[in-house]
Amino acid sequence: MRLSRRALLQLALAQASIQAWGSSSGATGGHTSAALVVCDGRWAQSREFAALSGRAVVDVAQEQLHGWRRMRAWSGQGPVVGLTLWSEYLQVRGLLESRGLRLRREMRSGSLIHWELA
Amino acid sequence: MIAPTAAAWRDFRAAIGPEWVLTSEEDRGTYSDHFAADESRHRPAGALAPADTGQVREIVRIANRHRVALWPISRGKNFGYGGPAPVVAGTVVLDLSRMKRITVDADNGTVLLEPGVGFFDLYDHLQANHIPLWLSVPGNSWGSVAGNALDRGVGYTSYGDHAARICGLEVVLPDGDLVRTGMGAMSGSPTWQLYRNGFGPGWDSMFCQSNFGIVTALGLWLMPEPEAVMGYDYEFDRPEDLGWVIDTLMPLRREGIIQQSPSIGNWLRSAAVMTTRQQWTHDKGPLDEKVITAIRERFKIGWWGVQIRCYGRQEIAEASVRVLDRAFAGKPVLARKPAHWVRGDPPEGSPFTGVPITFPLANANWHGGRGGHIGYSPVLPPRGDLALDQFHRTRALYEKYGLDYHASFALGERSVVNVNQLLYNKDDPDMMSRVDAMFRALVADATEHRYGEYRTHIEYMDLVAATYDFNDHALLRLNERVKVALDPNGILAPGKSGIWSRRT
Repeated sequence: MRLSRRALLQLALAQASIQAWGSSSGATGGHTSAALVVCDGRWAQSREFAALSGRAVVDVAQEQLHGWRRMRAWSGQGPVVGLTLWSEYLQVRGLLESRGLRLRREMRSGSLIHWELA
Repeated sequence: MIAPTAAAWRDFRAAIGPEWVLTSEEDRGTYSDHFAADESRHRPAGALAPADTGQVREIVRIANRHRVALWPISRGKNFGYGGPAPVVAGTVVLDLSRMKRITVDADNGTVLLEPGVGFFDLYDHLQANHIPLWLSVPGNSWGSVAGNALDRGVGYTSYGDHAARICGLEVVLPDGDLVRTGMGAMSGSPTWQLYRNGFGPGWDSMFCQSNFGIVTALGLWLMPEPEAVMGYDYEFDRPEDLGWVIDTLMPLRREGIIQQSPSIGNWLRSAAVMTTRQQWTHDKGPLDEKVITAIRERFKIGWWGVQIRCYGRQEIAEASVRVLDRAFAGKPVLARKPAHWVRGDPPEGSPFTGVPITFPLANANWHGGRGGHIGYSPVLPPRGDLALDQFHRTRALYEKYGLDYHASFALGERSVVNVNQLLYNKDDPDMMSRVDAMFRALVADATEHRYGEYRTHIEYMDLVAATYDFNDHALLRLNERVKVALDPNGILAPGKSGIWSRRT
C-alpha cells in the first residue's frame, strides 16, 4: 500500500487528533481510548487509521455488503471513533445515537470525516 | 405555540421516565437534518422516546395541557426529506423508534408492526423464523417499515407501492383518543390485517403524509416468496431513448405483466454511489460529454438504464420474460443482461429479492466532504413524449443552475414519477443557493404543466401544498378544517404537508 504525502499528513493529523480526543476526558466520560474504530477499507488513509489504532475495527465497506451485521450486533460500551466518508459516518452515527451515544467531534480530514461518538 | 416550559418537561419526565426525555444540545443535534446547510433552521427543542402506545397517549395529553408541539417520527431516517427534523424549529420530536413489536401472520402474508421496526429488523425476523415472506425495501433500509409506507415510499418489488399494501392502522389522535381503522374497529377482529375497507368511510390514507394522528401500529401485506424472479437489466444509448422506452413498458405495466415499478435512471445514478465527483473532474460546471462518456465506459452503462423483474410461479415469470423479449424486439437496446433466480438458488442478495440495502445513500458523497441531496418528484401522465419533454426542460434547469443531472422516471400503473435528485455540498454556500433556486424553478416549471409533486422536504411543504390549487386550494382548506377539528390546539406536526392549525 502506498500513501501520498498529502494522505500521510492527513493521517498524522487524524492520529494526533484521535489521541487528543481520547484524552479529553471531560467531554467523553473519562475514557482514554475508543472501544471501537470504524474505517472504510476502500481508502488507504482510513485503513492506516484503523491499523494504527490497535482497537476493534469495523469496516463500513464490508458492512455495506453484509447488511451492517457487525455494526448492528456490536454491543460494546464506550466511545466509537471513525474515519469514513460522510454518508457512512451519518449511517453509523444514526445507529449509535439510537443506542444513546452522542456526537462529540466531527471534522474534515481530506475527503473523509473524522468523528467520535460517546 | 410556545417553547416547552419547565413544567411541561417535568410532566413528560414523570410520564415516560427522565432518561427518555432528551433535551441536551447533543440530543437536539441528534434530531436535526444532517443534510441541511444550516441545521439550526429546523432544530427541535428536544425529543421524547415513549416505550408504548399508552405512553404516546399520555404524552399527547400533556402536550395539549402545555400547548407543546410534537413532531412524530418512526425512526427519523427520511434522508432527503428532512430526516428527523420538524418543519418548525423548537417543536419536540416524538421518537417512536423504541416501539419495535412485530407480529407476523405467515399463513396470510401479513404483518402488524410498530413504528420503530426498521427494514433490517423485519428482514432479520423473517430470516430467523424461516418465514417465506419477502420485504419490499426502499433505497435506504435504515428507515421504518411503517414510516416509509405512511410517507408513501416505494420499493423494488411488485409490492413496491408501500402505501397500497397498508391494511389497518392503530392511531393515537391529537386529543389522546385511540382508534383502530378498518376491521380493527371491531374489538378482537381476526381480519384487521386481511380486509382493508372495513365498514363505512375508510380512514387509512388520511394518516399518510398527514398530521392528523400518530400511527402506533400498522398492518402491511408482505409478498409470499415467489418461485422465480426473472427479467433484464437494460441499457439505452441516447437521451432520446427515454420516450420509446416508456411507451414500450407502460402497456406491460398496465396489463400487469410488469408488476414492480421500473425506474429508468441516468448514468449518474451509478456513478454517484460508487465514486466521487473529483475522481472524474475538477471542473465546477456541469459534467461535460467527455466525462459522461468516461463514466459510461467505466460502468458499462447507457445514458439510461432500467431493471425489469417479473415475479411469481416459474412458468409465469418465463412467459412474462418472453413478452418482454417481444416488446423490445427490433428496438435500439444498447445492452441487455438477463436476471434469473428460482427458488433453491443461492440468495440473490439484491433489493429485487427483498434484501435491505443502504448503498444508494452514498450519493451524498458525490461532491466530497459533507454532502446531501434533495429530490423534486412531480407525477406525469405515462406518455413517452411528455416524459421526454419533461427531461429536456428539467435538464436545461440543471445546466442553468450548474448542477449535475441526476434523474429517474419511475413507472407506476397509470403514471410516471420523475425523481430529480439535486446532489450538493452543504458547505458550499454558492451551490446551496443554486440548489434552493433550482428547486423553486422545478416546482414552477412542473406547476406550469399542471404536474404536482408526490412527497417533499420539510423546507418546501408549504410551497408544494400551494400548487394544489383547484377551487382556491379547496383540498388544503379541507385538510385544515379536519386539522382544526381533530387538533384544535395544533400540537401535532405543525406544517406537515403544508397543513397548519389556525391556533399554531
